Amino acid sequence: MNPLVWSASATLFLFGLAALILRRELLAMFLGLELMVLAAVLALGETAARLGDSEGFVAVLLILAIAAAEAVVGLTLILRVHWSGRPPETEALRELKG
Amino acid sequence: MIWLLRPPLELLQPQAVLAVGALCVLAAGASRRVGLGLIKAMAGASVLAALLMLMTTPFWAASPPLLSSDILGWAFQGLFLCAALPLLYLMKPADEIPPALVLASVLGMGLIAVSGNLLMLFIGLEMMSLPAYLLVARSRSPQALEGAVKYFFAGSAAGAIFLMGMALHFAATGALSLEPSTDPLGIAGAFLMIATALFKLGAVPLHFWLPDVYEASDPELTAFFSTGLKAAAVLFLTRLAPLAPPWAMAWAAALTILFGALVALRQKNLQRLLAYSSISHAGFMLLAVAAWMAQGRSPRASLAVFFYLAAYLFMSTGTFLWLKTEGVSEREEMRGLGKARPLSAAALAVLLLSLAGIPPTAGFAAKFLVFWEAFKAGLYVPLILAGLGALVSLGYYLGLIRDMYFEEGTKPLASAPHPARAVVLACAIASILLGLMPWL
Amino acid sequence: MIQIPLAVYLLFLAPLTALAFGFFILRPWKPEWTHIPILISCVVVTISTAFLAAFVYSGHGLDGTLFRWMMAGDWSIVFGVRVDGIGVAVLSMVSLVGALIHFYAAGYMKGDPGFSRFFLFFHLFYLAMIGLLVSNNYVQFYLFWELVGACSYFLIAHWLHKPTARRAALQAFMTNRVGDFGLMLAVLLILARYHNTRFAMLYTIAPGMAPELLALSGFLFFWAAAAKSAQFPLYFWLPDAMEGPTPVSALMHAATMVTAGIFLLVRSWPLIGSVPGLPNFIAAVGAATAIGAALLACTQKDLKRILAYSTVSHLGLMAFALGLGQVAAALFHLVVHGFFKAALFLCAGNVAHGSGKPTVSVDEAGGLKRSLPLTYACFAIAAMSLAGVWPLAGFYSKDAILDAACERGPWAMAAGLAIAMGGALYISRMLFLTFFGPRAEQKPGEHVHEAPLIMILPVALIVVGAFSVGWLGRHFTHLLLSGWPETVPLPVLPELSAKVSGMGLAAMGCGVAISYVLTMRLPSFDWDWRRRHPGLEAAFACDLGWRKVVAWFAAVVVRGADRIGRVFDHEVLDAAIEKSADACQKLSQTGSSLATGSLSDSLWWLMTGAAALLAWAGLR
Repeated sequence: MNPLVWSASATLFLFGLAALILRRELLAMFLGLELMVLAAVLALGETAARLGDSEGFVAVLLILAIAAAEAVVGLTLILRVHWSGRPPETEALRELKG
Repeated sequence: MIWLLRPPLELLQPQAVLAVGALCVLAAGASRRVGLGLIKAMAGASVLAALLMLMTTPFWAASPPLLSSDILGWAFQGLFLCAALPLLYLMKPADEIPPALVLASVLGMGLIAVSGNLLMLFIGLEMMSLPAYLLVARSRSPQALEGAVKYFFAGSAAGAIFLMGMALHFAATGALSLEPSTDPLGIAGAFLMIATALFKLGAVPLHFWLPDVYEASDPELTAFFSTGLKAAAVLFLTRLAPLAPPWAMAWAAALTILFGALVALRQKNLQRLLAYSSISHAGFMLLAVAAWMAQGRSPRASLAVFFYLAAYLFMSTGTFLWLKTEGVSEREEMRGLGKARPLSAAALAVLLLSLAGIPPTAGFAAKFLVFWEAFKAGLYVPLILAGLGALVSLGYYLGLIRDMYFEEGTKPLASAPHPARAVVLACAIASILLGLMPWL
Repeated sequence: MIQIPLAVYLLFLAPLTALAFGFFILRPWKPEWTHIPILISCVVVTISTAFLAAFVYSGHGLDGTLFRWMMAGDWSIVFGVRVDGIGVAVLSMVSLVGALIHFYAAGYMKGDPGFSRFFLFFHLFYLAMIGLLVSNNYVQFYLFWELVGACSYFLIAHWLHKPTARRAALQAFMTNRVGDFGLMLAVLLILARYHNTRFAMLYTIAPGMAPELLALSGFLFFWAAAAKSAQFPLYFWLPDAMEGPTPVSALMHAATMVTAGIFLLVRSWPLIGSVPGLPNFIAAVGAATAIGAALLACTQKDLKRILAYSTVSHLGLMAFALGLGQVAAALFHLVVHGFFKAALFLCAGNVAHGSGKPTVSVDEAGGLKRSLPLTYACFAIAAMSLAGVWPLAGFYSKDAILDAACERGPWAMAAGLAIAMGGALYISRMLFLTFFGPRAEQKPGEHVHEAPLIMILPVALIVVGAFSVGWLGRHFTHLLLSGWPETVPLPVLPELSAKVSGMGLAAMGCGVAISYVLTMRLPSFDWDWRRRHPGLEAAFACDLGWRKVVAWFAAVVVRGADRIGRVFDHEVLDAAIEKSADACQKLSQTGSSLATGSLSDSLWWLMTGAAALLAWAGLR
């Protein structure tokens, strides 16, 4: 295991996590989400490279494709919040509770 | 690499049909001349065709790489397809997109059912979830968008956790297969993936998205979520079962049952109440899975898992569709319904009794099977907690029946005969028949 | 896989369909038509039973599972049927007499405001009784046993506006519960020990069962039977149950439901019979009940109460026969009794109907043979059958029992003869007092009229049975033989012997002669002794003191228990429930306040959950 890559991956994941939980702006949270995904992709890619395993590379490719689809969905939803006249923040979306 | 070149198509027949169906629906929607009714019919027809295809799918054949073929996955695919049918029948889409999204979501569930590899599982999970976010966003409720955003962020976060778990598992075992690992890193990865499965199932404390989403969606969509998506989550969990010990599931199950039942007690909105009730039911499914794992994944115990889901399919679909047919959304509106609409009130009473697990309904048979399997598996303490939860849940199920029959109605109801009435009645009858003849 | 004849399914499907149709469609729509599907179902059931009787008579039998509801290890909840000689013998009587009483009730209850409710419960009872007779295991038997008890409760209390009816219903129900508790204990005992309560299985292992278990369950069975079949300590509910409509009294409290206890004993005889001492005990209790009830029947004034005490007496006679080991004779008497007693009750119903009253006492009767000629004829034949006049049915069944009693010894013989004489005495007293006269003390109604055809024809048909069933003794034995396990001595009806028959006829003649003298020669005797000895009348009114004991028991023990229960209920149970409900509400509030509606909180919980799972994994 390459400690540099893994520590980078762990740092990315934790930063992403922090952004997701601590920030209140949807766009920033979404960036955190993407960071978490990419951290995982980095770790997967490292292992695939270490083992020379093509399966891992295929996984990386497919995951990136899925992340792109996810981004489309997520950004659409954030845009729709924006269009609905509310600020795209979590505090604006608190009607469902209890 | 060889699997990339020679895909095992016969296992994927139903999924292929659904994919073609979704494309056809989109293509038909592009043309102005095709009406929405026809598009819905096309979507329904492709689900039926997928069901037919499923009948001829050789689930007994040897598993090809990446995929796994077993009877559990086969049976669950039937559940997914059946759960989608009432939704396609009842939804009132503005354009061709929602039917295509439903087909895509069911396609994702089918991929979970046939996957034998973590990557396939992830693809199936995302294919199932992404259309679901959009479907919530397109619901009629004013809070639809809020529900969709919450669903999206929570679901995607869970997906990211799954990916991290997968990366750890891959690093520990060097493969994306479902082999358990003894490495601490691999175990940590396995638990992260289990956490995702529990999230999808709505286990406490990973459940907070669920009531919001269920409340924000149209009732027919909620019915689909509580049956199709829930079954897919259970199947997802069973696929991951080799990686984790059963005790985690059993305790999560007990906690989920109790928590769901307790919080449901004070809900005013019926869809939210039923959402918490479905959390409680997810706990029972979880308990069944735990019992199945504790017994060395015996086929008999997997029957309890499947039976619970099959029974829940009828009960939950019937209840949510009842909300739609009667146009009732708040608990107060239930008062006096027993007099105002005797037939549909009786149907709901049967469904609620079944949800509560009163004999001779399907809900009782299902709970009985789960309890028995858990007892055989030696999960005594979770079993007692589950029993307590079932007791608490009587409080709101019977409370609803009391509201209907023993309280005076305050406002007159607009009478609206609805095509779904027949489906509700059929669900009520099915939950009695299934309770009388559980071996069916 | 055994072949199950269609008739077996029809036994359940026909009543269930009729009940569902009647309840869901006719009751809301046309309540006065509720009886139509039910009468059709009665006909179907009777034909099916006839087929099953032929099926068993020709040497077939059936003991199988109709469906298995649920299974858990070697525990399972199954719905099975056992069609054998014993069951079919009783079933034939129950379905035929029951069907005829249904027709009678269609006339008797016409215009009653609770017509639809009455018929639904009545038919539900019919279904439950049939289910009880063809059960093949004790659990199912117990469920049907409870169901007939519940139906009996609702039907006794049919006229809810009468406080006496409500009280009687409650009393009957509570007394039955006391017995049911015994049956439940016995079934649980067997269930705990063998995990299975199928009769067939228990019959084969009965010889090897632990004697203590056998004795205990045997005693509990008799306890249950004593409550249901109105044996001595627990008989008192039956006369009071006459508050219900007459068809109910005829069907449930004479012909069928009360014989369920005897039937339970017959079903369990392979278990009970081998317990040392228990048969003798049953015989003694039966004889005491029979003689005591016969004596009390002579002192009653209300027509239905006379018949009720007579039913108690005959149930005692059946228990007596069983105790002597004469299973076949007991069953035969059960069947014959069903016919003549149902006919007698229906005749009493006709008298009441003709007089326009719910119930008639001898003070209001007398000389009715002119205004009610057909009812009089039916009553007379059924009464002769009860008294045991040759060649009517009652003669044969009573004679079989007497025969066994004579073989057993002088005490048994004396008891048998006393019962025979007592029976003849009270029934001929009733006949003379009701249909002859009227005497100076009697005031029959002015315009007593004969009942309509629908209430005469069923009675006449039942009377045909009461007349002629006795001739079928040999066939009856043949029917029984098909369904009895080989490990137990085969029950056979004894051959008639001239000596015993003569003694029986003589006792009967004695009884009739005494009552003739006391009612026809001394027409005021029945009123005179009451006037002269009010203490004696009071003693008879409280069943020679037993009712006072029961009342004392109810007052002291039941009320004491009630008080303790109330304290427990209020101080412990209610408090606990309130506390736990409060706790639930608090927990509910806490749980619900966790869902703040903020997405960030939700994500925080998500990560906490995942982290908790990870941490837990690390700890393990």
